[in-house]
Amino acid sequence: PAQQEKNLQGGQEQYVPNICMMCPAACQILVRVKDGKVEKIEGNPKGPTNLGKICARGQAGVFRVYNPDRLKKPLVRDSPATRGSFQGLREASWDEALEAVASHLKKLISEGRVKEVFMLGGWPACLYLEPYMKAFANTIGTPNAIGTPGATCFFPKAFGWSTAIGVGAHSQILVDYENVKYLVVIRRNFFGSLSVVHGVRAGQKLGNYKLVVVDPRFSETAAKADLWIPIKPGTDLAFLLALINVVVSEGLYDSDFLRKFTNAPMLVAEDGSPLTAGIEGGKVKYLVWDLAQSKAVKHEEAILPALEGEFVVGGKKAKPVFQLLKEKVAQYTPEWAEGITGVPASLIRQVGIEFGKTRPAAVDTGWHDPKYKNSVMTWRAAAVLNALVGGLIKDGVLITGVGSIATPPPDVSEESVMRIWGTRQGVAMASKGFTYQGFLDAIEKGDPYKVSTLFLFSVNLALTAPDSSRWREALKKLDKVIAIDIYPIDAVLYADIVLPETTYLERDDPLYAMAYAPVLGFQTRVAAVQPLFDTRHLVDIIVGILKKLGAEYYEKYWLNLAKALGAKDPAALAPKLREAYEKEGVKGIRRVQAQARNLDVARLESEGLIVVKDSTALRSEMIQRAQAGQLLTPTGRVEVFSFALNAIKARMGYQPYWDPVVAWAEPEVFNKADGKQTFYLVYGRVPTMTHTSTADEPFLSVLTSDFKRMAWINRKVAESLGIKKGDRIRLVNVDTGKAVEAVAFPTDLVREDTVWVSSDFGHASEALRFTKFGVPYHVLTSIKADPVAGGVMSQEVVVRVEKV
Amino acid sequence: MARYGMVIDLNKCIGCGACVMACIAENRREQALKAVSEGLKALENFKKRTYITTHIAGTYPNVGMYYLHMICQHCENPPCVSVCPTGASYQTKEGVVLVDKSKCIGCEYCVQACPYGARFWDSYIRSIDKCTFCIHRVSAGELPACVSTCPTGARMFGDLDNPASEVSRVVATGSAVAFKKEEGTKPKVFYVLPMRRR
Repeated sequence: PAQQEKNLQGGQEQYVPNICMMCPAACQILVRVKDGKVEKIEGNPKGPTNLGKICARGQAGVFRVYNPDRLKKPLVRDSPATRGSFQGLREASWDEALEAVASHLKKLISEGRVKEVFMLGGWPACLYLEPYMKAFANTIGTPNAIGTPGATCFFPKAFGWSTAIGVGAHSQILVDYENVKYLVVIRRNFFGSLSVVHGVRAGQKLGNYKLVVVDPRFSETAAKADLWIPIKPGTDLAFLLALINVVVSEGLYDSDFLRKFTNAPMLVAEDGSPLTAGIEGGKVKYLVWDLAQSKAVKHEEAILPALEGEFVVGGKKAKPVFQLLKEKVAQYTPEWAEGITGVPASLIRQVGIEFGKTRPAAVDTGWHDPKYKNSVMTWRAAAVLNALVGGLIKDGVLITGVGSIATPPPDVSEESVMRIWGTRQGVAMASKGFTYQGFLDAIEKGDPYKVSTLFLFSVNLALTAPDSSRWREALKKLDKVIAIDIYPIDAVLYADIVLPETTYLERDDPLYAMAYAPVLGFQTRVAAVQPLFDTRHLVDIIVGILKKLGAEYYEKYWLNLAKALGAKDPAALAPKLREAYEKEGVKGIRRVQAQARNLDVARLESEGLIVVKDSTALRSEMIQRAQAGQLLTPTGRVEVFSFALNAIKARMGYQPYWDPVVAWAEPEVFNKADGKQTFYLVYGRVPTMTHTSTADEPFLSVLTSDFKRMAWINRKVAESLGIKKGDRIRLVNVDTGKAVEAVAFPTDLVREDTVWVSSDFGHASEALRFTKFGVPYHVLTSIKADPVAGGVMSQEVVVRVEKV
Repeated sequence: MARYGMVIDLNKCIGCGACVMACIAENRREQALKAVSEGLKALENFKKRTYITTHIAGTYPNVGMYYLHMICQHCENPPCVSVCPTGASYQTKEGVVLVDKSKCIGCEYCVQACPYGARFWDSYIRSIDKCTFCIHRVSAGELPACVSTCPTGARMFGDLDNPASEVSRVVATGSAVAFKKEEGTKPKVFYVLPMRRR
């Protein structure tokens, strides 16, 4: 390390490996450094995530380090009355700031009120630093911590997929863009949003596959599509069900795949219960009808499992799952779907036939989607459709390196506000603790109990939490708000203690599994330059607080961290982590992690990454696992009949939102907008922005075209309302009355009944000098939770449009 | 001697702006940092050696969105060079058109003469500035910054005299065309024009 620091001061140009942190997709990069300054960022040519490429945001990382708006020293607010403004915060030493945090925590602990502490993480905590934050929460003893904003981000989508293949987060599954020949994209804009990992692969292969984009607005992805289908918002599920109908009724499914990889042959009794034969090796064994032996046997023992028909087993009538699917989807004809989606039946039939006849074909895996009440079932239908044409795991949709080592997400404490609130809302998966919406009630009404102290880990609640203006008021009611961030974003303005983090180019990081890429590998960050300001690494900040709390807490942290990192023997790993950290800081943690995985530390630190299994090896391993019944699903196979959803049904009664096979389930906004005065509100991203976190990046801010900050309204409709380009308009939520102002962009790129805005803007912090106008989207959403996954239902919004 | 050229496949361009940002970071970093210190207005006015414009066509639902790329065409017959009174604008042996800022007097004749709008007065360095095809990178065996970063491979770069190069192969198919041929400038940047694929 001393050597390296010396080199960084030298005049020679050198490349230092790092991981891009301008968005969560974590592309591998090389940072060109000279004279202790960042000169340029390049994609790391060895990086399997981005294949040596980076986007505009990645290129703009240079200017993040030198952005004068950065938080440069700890800040402390002496009077809570000034919350909501940057005024009232004064510079403080680290010692004073950490002492202030620790003494507040000591007080809560001594009074038995530590449960009142809650911690929320934004995407920078997600996937990477979450274990460090959760170990912190466990150490001080609060059950209230979410490092991953599952309810706002991915959980409904991920859960929908996982009901079929056991995993489903965007880090866990990936379309095989290199080989796919027919791709249907719903609720996704991979050319205009976050991920180079998808955009680079899909983009380089443009022309090799037919691209069908289903979206109410003409996105950057639609611009590259062979076919754009402007569907009625919230009805993608009906479209997918009709595709299933076509594939099944035209006999275009892959029966060999269904027999080998899925539980489509599983027998289900008339009462809806699967015929099972106990549990072996942690997997549910089920019966199928073997046509060769004319009897019911375990799937493994069957020679030719039946997919269709009705059989009598032990005196009970039973049908294979595929038969049930076929009967179920018979009603979901293209003609039926036309009435719901507004997409002509002939077009749906054409897409269904093309999809069924082209191999490999896939429905894109998506990324973000907590949008509608039916989000879970929508993605389940996507997975089932992929399964029908054999497009899961063996081709079409692959499991990534991170997906291959995934374990089922653990339940959170029953004491947590998230879980109690989610359970009371009737959220089936409340035990997973993603429903952070509940903290609003806890602040405002002390329900289920009072929370008083908030740690914000790079999360801009004041902009991104549903009903954001209500959150702004709620934040003022807390006793203490501690924010850890790199910029004085809107949420930071509500903090009493602000702890500034170093940017990604100034720091060494722990070891991370390489997410998103079709390989199994590990990566890290090596500091390219010394920190420019008096900032610290998140881990150093947490440890700093714990040291002030006392030796007992400090000791406990390493044990909790070892557990959170998934150590087999946490008691053995904990002292190693502590010693290494004391010697070398975060770098030391990384070395212990690397050694535990038998990775060559020197190579890791010089190249930034180590690939353990390449894509070919990973895929053949996943195929074997699927065939052997060793996926993460309860049966270990692709589940055309979901045991997870069936368990919800058993517990909560039948609802189409958790049909164990598939079913049409309505979004809340269904048929609620007239397209004359009232409109479905949909949001999206722009390629130069990452949620709200890049709006103050000097160059990205001005590289974003102004029309992408405006509210898109159909040109004809705008004419009828007398609205011209650039007019100020007001969008009013017809249910809540909450309103935002926007600049109108009349355009042919959006449906007549739909208004589109980007959710990346709307910043009001006076401490950010490079932000421009835009819509604070979440003023218009309200506190909701979908009944399955607890998603925030961020597009269940109908607005009225008024001229200002 | 190589004859460098570029092909921009507008069918592959997704309008992400990576090329624009890469160029700023590679070639105009010091100017950019200065503009950052001056604030938002300076950033709004910050000149770019290459940029993208978005074009929307058609009426709902039969619409298209296209991106066009401005960049110096490195013409074989560059009007910017012939009008330059001081010899600041010149062409290298490889045919790359450059500006020697020590000779530039800022008369802007070349800005007027360029049919492509590829040149501008850079007040930070007090000279006319323009794309150099990243010749400093190319001489070191690397690709221009914009080409190297393009996620979809829409920008290609290479030797037009080498029939095996990617740019030569694309140009040879006839699918890549030069802009404003009638000007007689003989550009070495070629565009594969956008087609709505159905």
